[in-house]
Amino acid sequence: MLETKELAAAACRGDEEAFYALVTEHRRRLYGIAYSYLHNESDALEALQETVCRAWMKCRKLKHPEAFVPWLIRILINCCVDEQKRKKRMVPVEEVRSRETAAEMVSDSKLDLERALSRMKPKYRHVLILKYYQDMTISDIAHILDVPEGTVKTRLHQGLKLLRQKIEPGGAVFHV
Amino acid sequence: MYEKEERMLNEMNRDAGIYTAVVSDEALDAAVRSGMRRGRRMQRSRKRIAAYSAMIATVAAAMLFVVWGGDGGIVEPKEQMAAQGPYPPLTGFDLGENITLNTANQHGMIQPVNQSVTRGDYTVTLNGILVGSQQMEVFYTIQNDAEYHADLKRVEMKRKGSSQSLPYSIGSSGGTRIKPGQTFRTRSDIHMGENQAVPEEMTLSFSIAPYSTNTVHQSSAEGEQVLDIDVSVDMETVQKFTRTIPLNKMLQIESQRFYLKEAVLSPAGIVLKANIPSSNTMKVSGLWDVYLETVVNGKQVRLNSDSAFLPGAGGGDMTYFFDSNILENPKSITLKASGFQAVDPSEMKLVIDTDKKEILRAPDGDLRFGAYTGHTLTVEYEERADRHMGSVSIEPEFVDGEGKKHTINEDAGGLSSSSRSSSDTGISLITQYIHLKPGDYPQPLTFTLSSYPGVMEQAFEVPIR
Repeated sequence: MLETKELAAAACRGDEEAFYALVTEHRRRLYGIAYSYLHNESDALEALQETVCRAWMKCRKLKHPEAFVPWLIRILINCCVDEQKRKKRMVPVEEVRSRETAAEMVSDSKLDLERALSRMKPKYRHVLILKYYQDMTISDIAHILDVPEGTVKTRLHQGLKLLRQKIEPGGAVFHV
Repeated sequence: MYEKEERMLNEMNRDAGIYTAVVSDEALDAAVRSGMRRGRRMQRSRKRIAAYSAMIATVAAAMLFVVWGGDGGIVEPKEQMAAQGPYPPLTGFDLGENITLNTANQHGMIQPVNQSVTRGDYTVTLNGILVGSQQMEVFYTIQNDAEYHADLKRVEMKRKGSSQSLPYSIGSSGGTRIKPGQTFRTRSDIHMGENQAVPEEMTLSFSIAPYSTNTVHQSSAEGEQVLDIDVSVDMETVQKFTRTIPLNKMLQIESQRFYLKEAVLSPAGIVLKANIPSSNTMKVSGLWDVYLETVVNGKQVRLNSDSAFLPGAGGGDMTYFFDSNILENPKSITLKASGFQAVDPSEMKLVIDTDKKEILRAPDGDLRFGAYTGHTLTVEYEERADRHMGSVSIEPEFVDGEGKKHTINEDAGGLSSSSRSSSDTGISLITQYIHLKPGDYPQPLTFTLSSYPGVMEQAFEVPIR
């Protein structure tokens, strides 16, 4: 079994089997990241599909095959952001946050959090999602976003601060 | 310093982990393969375009046009998930205009079974099945080799190898007259009970008896034969084409609510799972004029709901069953409704004075006193096609003028109704029959209505996909 580095190098030379093997190894993780952004299975699968398509078309131009996986995740994040922009929800009534205790109901705090994240600038949103939804290290996040580790730490701190400002006790959410 | 915010984010992490774990490997693999196929196709298109441009600059625009029309073009329509099942089309059955069945058959999703059982003069052949998450369509043929008419009394589903029934409801079975020598092809649709999936292994039982006008309306008869056929469902294919989409949307009109939990898409139908909160002050019993609108190749296609599991009196879970054309890869699926079916529970009383022959109190003025003859009370109303239609149902217990409770006379017929409709006006005259036990009742009599038509109007559109 080829190492990830060798698979990536082969994939970037146009080896379909190597590309497929590499993407398959990380497919569930990619799906999880997409789900963290898009919150439903259908959209997350479509984002995964679009990511694979773009990656296959561009991988021969990747200068550092050893950075294949972070590069792939970066493409995925861009696909998710594109999908979020394109999607327009048409519910005529505001999502009512239920105060009931039924297990199926969406909690106030979850809705508040999702809303606060969606209204945050992307550079803060990305680090929060990758760190807390996907358990990534500072180093991993830095590679994916192609920024220094210090920048990641700063954005994490700023992102949490913004989150606190946006979520008031009782559930009111303020626009940025 | 930001412990609360980090705690909230970690909780979301846990939720994200759950959702990530439940997606199937097949769905992920299909997404990866589809992405690679589309990437390859786009690459070939781009290389071809570059070559043409280099060769003949002035013809480049025309060549682009050819490439667009012939091979998917520069901008490929977004390729969707696999939309073709593994089976050959089922033949010999008239599927009429049924969107679900026609789409599923065209896309190879009706699993052939082709098993036959013969008992006495009857042979049943189970030709095929279309299986979804909670619904199943059964296609079968009955051969009557007797010298008399036969009657298909009922079709039942049981756990394989046992007589234990499964929780389901079945439409269109029973009461079928089959001529001597006739080969009769038909189908039955089965909906599993709440939160029950179609089992992988089951036995379908077909009960056939000699036809008799005395027993035609009975579910069993003397001399009936029961023909059992064991079925194994191709669950791998079913699961490959089934997808659950969480909705988590609360619809609200004034202070009344209706919660959309999730939609389960499959070639056999689209299941919408909902919940009616018990905190509603009105008796909300569902969505009014609900349907799904899909967009396929730029055209809008309406998917109607053919049945639903209703909530109890105090609210609760509700399930709608819609048609499905997901194998046509609709660009969008939107739930649309015109409001809630809702009535004020405090108005759900029907007070009748049988001596004065009049209705003293009713939810509205649409109910009329019919007659009180031989201890049978009739109430009439017109059910117009443009009226907010809904059934009028009466509880079997009532109270007399002195507050004493009574129940209706089940032996005399209990509660029943009849209707006469006019095709010109679209008006149906409904007569409700209430059979009382012989006796003198202090007046007036107060009946409780368990359902009555009523609507809170507000348009909703909820994207599902």
